[in-house]
Amino acid sequence: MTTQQERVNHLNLELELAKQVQRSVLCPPIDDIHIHIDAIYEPSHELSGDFYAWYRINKNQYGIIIMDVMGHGISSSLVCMFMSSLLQDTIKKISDPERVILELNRYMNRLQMPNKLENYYFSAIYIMLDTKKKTIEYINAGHPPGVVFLDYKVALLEQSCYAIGLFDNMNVNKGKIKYRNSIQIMLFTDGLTELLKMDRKIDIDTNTLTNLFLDYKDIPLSEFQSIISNMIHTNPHQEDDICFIRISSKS
Amino acid sequence: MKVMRFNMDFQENNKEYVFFLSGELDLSVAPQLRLALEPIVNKTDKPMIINLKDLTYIDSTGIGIIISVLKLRREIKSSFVVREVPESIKRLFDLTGISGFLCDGTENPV
Repeated sequence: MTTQQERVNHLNLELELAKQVQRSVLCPPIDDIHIHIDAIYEPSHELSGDFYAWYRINKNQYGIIIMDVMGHGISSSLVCMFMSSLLQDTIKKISDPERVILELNRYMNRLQMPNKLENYYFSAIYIMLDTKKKTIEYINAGHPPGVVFLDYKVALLEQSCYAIGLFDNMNVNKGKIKYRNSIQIMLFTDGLTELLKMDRKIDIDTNTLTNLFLDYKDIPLSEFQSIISNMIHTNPHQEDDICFIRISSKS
Repeated sequence: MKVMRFNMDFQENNKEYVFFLSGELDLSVAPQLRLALEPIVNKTDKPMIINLKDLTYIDSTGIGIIISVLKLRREIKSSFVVREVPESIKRLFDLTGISGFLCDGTENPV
């Protein structure tokens, strides 16, 4: 007969394995002649509702997505895994931000269980970067704004539409930014802002965040990772997953 | 960090079913809220109201519940209104992109 303790141990082992599976589907960094893309990923529990992916679409184009599924834990991570199985094909074959977001919304709306008073959705930013034309096209679907440093200016990737999975019909309008020399893009989930503000009821404004990123934009990502890890250790109330992506063009 | 307990009060009058939510609505209290909403959400005789006046925090799971109520009420063609949304929560609704469906001026959101 299995004791309760044995069942708990087995469940913990399974969660640990599931966590490794989830990590294994995250994209490895890209560091080629055009671009450097890398991320920091700190799930709060064993499993995460944050996710990212990036793919080289062709010689000069890259598709990058960051997403934050509602809730955290097992159900959120299953939604992540469901989406991750679709992302590579969707990004590589469809590429265009408006069509990618509509396609993901169509899939997400299949998951709904209205009678359970549960509505799965996720916020996301999807970017298509063209290193030859020196443009980015993007959609922000209900996600905290991305911060862009371009040619010594700062721009924000602000909301274009509501989060994905909320409703069947969605109006999306992609934003477009052109740069001359170089571009650096910081994407993050709200776990990072919650960590920085210490109290989840206080808002952190974009200026504060932009200034912070200004300090960290050129340091090795591993250094920023250590800073975040230290903050997590000193903040026992960190409840949300943390994900941060840095995309830097090479001239 | 001081966490304000989540609390819920239900009032029924001749005109409507009203839920008053206060404190912090997050993943940990979601089952409690679902359980309270379930017996009312399918009733078509009166509008259903959720009043957020004293709610200090809501997370994505809480937003998911409110959206699911909105969809279910639409499906059964019954009125659903979210009332007195505090500014900090309104900002989160704005960020997620759902204010237009939930906030003031949506007395007939169908």
